[in-house]
Amino acid sequence: MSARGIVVAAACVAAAFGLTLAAPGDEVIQAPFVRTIPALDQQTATREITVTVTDARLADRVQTPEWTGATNGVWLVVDLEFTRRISRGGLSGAFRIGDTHYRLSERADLATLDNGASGQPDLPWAGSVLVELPLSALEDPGATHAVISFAGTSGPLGGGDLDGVLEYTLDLTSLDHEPSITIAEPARVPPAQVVG
Amino acid sequence: MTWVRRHRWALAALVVLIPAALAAAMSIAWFRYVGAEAQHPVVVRSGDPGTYATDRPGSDAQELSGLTATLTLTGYNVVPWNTETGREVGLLEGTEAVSALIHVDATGLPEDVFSCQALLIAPGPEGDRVWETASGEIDYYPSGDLHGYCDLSEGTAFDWEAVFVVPEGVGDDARLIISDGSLNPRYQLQLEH
Repeated sequence: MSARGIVVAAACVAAAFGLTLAAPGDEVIQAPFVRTIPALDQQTATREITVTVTDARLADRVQTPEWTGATNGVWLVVDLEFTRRISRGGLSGAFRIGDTHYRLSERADLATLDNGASGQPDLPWAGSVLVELPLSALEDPGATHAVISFAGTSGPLGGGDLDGVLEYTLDLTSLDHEPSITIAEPARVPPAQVVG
Repeated sequence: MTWVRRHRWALAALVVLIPAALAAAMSIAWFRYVGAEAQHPVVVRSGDPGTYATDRPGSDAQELSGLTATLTLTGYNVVPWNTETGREVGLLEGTEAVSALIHVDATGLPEDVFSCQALLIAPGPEGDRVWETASGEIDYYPSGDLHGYCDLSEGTAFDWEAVFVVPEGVGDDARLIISDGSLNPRYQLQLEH
């Protein structure tokens, strides 16, 4: 083989190697499209859902008409409005402080928006979601920029991580801390302006 | 003699073989995609009977079994929230109810066929928006001789009232689609109103 042939072959191998390195992995391919909810009362949309966070508070106890939620820690209560945009489905959520991830509480059963609401396009729901936290979480250095995230369920792609995710950053240390909060059950509310 | 000229036959073979290899590798995914693609709905004018092709669970995904029902849209009414009826059924401000009356002739169909589902579809900023029939949105459910759902497995003729709740202004222009409710239905019937 001539010297030129060897150079061409080496270039082809190098190019193939470069292409392999440049190809995105599964983690990147399946990463959600994250959009940030900039502030309270600002409606923000993914392809599947819109979310408006209307309030966020801490409480030692949460109550619904049928349930009292005592805890050794503290409740994070986030009030919001959510709307499906394409098809019927619900809302899912997650919460994190730094690298520590928390699930939304299911203790209140259908009284929370992520468990008790199934929306249809442009017909919004209002309600609350709950996170039960240890008291030590409030002392975590990441507590000043904790993140609650929302995604749709049952969408065309199955919802969740394969579609858009909305994130809202909270400073837990600056939230009102109340002895008890009564949350309303999820309810349909009149349609608002649709976010494009 | 240049390098290209000396290797012309090998290069010519590459020009043919590389696209052929790519086509062969991608054809499997392509045929799978085409096979799974939703079919265009069969459109039937208002009041005309339409043939709805159903199937049995587990049957061959590429073949329809020839089991059919006849569906005829006999009425389509939009009830805004700010009317007496709208208030009676508890419609929220800014919404409207849509009532689609459909005569279904499923005579002779066996008990194990798929049932059918009605959907209202209207364009939105992210593509088509799809509403399923109401479930708890209003204080109304079809009663008497009217069926509240499409149960083809009864094997008889019946009148079905499909009720939807949609944002105000959607009902008049929305498309009424009958399908098996799956993401990529193999057969869809559009009943014009």
